Amino acid sequence: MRSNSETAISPVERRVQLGLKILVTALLLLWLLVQVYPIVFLFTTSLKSDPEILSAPFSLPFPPQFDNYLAVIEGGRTNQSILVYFTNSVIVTAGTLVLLIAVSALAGYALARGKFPGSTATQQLFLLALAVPVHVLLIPIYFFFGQLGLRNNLLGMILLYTTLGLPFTTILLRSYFLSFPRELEEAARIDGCGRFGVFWRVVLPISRGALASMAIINIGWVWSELFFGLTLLDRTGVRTLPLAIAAYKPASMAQQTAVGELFAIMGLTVLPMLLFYFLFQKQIRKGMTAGAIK
Amino acid sequence: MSGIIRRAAGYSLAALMAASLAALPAGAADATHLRMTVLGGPGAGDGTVGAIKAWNAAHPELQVDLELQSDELNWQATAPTTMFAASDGPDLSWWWCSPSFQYKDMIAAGLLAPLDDIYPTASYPEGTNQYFTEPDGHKYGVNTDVVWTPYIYYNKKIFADLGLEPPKTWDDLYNIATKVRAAGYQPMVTLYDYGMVNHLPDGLMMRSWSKEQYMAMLHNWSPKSTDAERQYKWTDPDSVRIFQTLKDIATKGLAADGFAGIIDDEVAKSMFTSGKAAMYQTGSWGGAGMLDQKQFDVGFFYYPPINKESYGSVGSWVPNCFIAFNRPNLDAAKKVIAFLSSRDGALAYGKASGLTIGRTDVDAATLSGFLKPMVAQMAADVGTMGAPPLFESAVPPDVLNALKRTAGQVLTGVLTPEQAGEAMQQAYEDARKQ
Amino acid sequence: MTTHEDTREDGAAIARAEGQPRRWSLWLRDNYHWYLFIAPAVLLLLAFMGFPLYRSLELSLFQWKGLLPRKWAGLHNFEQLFADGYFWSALSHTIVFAIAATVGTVGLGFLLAVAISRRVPLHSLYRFAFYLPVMLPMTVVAALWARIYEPNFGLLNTALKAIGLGALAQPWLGSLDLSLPAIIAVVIWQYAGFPMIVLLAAIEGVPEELHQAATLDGASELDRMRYLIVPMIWPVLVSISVIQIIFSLKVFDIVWVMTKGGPAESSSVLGTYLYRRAFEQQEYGYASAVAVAMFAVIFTVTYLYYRLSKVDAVEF
Repeated sequence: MRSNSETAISPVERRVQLGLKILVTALLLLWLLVQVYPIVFLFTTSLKSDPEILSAPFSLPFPPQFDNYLAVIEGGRTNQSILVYFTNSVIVTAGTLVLLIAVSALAGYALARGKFPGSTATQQLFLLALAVPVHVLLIPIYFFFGQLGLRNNLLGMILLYTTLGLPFTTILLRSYFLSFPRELEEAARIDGCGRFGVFWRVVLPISRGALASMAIINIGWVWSELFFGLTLLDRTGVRTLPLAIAAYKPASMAQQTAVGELFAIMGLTVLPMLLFYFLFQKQIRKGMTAGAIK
Repeated sequence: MSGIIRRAAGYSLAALMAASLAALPAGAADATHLRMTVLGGPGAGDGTVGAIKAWNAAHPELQVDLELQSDELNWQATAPTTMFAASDGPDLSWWWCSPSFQYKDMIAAGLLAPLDDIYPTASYPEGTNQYFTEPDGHKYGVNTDVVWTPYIYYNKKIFADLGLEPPKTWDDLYNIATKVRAAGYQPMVTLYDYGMVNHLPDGLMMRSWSKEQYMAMLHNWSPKSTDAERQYKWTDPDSVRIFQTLKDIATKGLAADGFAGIIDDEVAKSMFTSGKAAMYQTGSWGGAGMLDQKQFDVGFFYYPPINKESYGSVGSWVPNCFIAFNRPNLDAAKKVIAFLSSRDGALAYGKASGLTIGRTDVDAATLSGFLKPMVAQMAADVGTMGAPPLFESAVPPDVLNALKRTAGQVLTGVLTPEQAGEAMQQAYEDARKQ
Repeated sequence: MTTHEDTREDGAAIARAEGQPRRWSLWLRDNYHWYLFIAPAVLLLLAFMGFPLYRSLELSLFQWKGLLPRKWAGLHNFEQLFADGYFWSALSHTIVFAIAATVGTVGLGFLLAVAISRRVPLHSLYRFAFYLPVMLPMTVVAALWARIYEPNFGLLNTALKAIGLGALAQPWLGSLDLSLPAIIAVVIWQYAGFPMIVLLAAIEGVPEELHQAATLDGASELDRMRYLIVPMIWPVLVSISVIQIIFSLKVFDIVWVMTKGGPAESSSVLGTYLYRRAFEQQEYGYASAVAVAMFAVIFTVTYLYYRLSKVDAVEF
């Protein structure tokens, strides 16, 4: 700490401070505009026709047109309704979160409590896995999944995403379980509970908050994963939403354009995440903080 | 809270089970179902949809489930090694039977079934039959249509307002660009990854090289090429001029502002159809698509020649084809292809796509019954101007990728035309070593 | 940051357990359930991470086009890699991307966190709104900004022209010099809110007495930031920066959707370069060599992080 003996503030300094305050406020408001307007723009654009989008990007959609949404839901251009992509995304995301949290809670608990031969090595394995960039896995996974029949298979994506999320989630849960009071567990042990019984009946129910944090940390990347989706899902019926965005060029070289439809797909992809944020903003910010600091 | 979690877990488990069920093959129905893939959209996509509809209506016992693919460049590049080679791949597909799209590799790997026994040889011109005959004597693909590349479509209204005529020379075209810009429009738009770095150089080759050089350059990347073919090089003045013209297109303002960032055809197309850009470059594969504009009439012109002795203005592309894969359903797939390549099947395809089906058993009168006048005009031009095969349909992927990369570097000013010539010559030398 | 004691205790316990040889049956009875606990995770990691990793290393020693049999190539792919200018430019773009995105997100996030912690007017709105873009899927952000950057009717150039700054209008993603910076700007736009929230929590953990002392001392805001806040939250600042670097080194989605690495490779990063070489050019062996090089880079950075930041190594 710096020891500062000045106590009186001169009028010049006061003016400088006022100026600074105004500047900071102006910059913050500008950043607010920059942060929020593109999201507003996304939705207003999705409610306009293509000619309007191209001629007047800033105009508001009055009256709003839901044609873009209807068109992508009907799916005439791609032979596939966007709802199919949507459902696939929901299945993959929900399945991954459940499996991921179940598997990492088990492993994280064992690593926090278990002193068994190989436990140090196992922990090293998770740290090691954290440093593996997913790109290295892409090509072998691609051919390996083909052999296993897991290409174009949502279960395959769930298993893969679970694996990708495992190292980080397990390590976080391990450090959570380390701080978990042992007394409760020991009491249950005395009452005759087995290790799994303690875990299932005592530890898990109290850890709901931590498990929810893990879901929060992982939901974003699973919902938007593109790299593996692009290579592993090439049948139209199993594709997820990010693929619809990356590859929505339905009527390439036709007389019609589909800018508005692309925005409608983007809107449908964003909406669940925004809704999720509006509903659980405090928990989300807390969960992300826990994830990063721990 | 725990209730919520338990319920969520329950739903997710149900979802998991649904997912694994979805992974199982469709339940046994009465009809045999074949899986077929095609690039969606106008042209080939519409044509295949039309022809398959006709088949499915007449054959309830053998239904074809058509899967439309959306990302053309990605599908083109990845499908052979991924989708087609996979154990769950389709039974048949529409494809580009060209070495640059791994057609030869698929044959060598035994993925494709020979179609000789159903091949209606007499229905195609001799050139097409030759194109589809492999060194082993078999034919593995059936031609679906013939398209020509590339052209520039223009907005007749803008041209008329500014008193402009389709250009005779490149300088005319640059002048048009200047005037169009002065009037507040963008000049020429096209998908960068495709139109700019692939079709443009392809079109310029036949306008810069002599016939002899053109034919030699299409083949002398090959280890089997002769010394006579190899006397022509990418470093020749006629070759460097191709890159010089590309450079001019970028620097003399013909290409739209930010053209190198247009990696989505929707952007290029929407600028043309909304009247913000005066010209759009593509080929005839869109069928009737580009020609139907509500707000203005569309015209087209070929690029001007850049060398008086050049080979021609119209190149043709015959590789569009149907292929069948060596899978358990092969016999059924062949039945479908036999229909698709019959006169009836081809007409269904032609009517739905508006593309020229290059067949000897369909006369001009029948064709003109469903072709837009402009497409018919393009078809007629081929007769007078000649239709050499396109570079893209003759070279392997490595060489095509080298051309795209080099053209991109010239267009963005990374390489000079001379350096580009050397880079391409190097790519040829590398290909000869393989 | 609460578990140092526990961890040390664990270490001692493990040492005890490993130091005392026991009979097999007794050992199994005591420990089998732990193996069942970790079995699903370890099996998944070995099957879908360990095995593919091994295959990637193996494949990098071959030439393979995907359809025809592969050919042994020894270290040829790596020789080619070291001589490949496109690889080096992709690597340098990746490093530039990682550093710029980290400095941008953490720097901006820090300033925003300080401002919000000082309870500026509307601070709770800022706290809510500045995290909003973090929630958006990256593919959507990329596709959205590709439209905003579109030079002719995109939002950015239209806005610049409307406020008389038309001279600043640029062909953003179509320019060799601007494509990478334009993408980095989008990443900062999207992710500044993440370090902001994390740092805000850390700043709010600074005891109120210290703030009051600083106020009594008449410290300016700058002094407060420099001599009070930064030293107090330094470990968190380091930790979040490294997380951002590691995350940024793996970039793929945003570049793929916005430019595919173009124009003329000016924005290509290791992720997109690998994808192109593998799936567009069917050079699976060579692309595996790129993957291995990428692995080496990211693994080194991550490993250094754990070695150098002892606090967090214990923490995990």
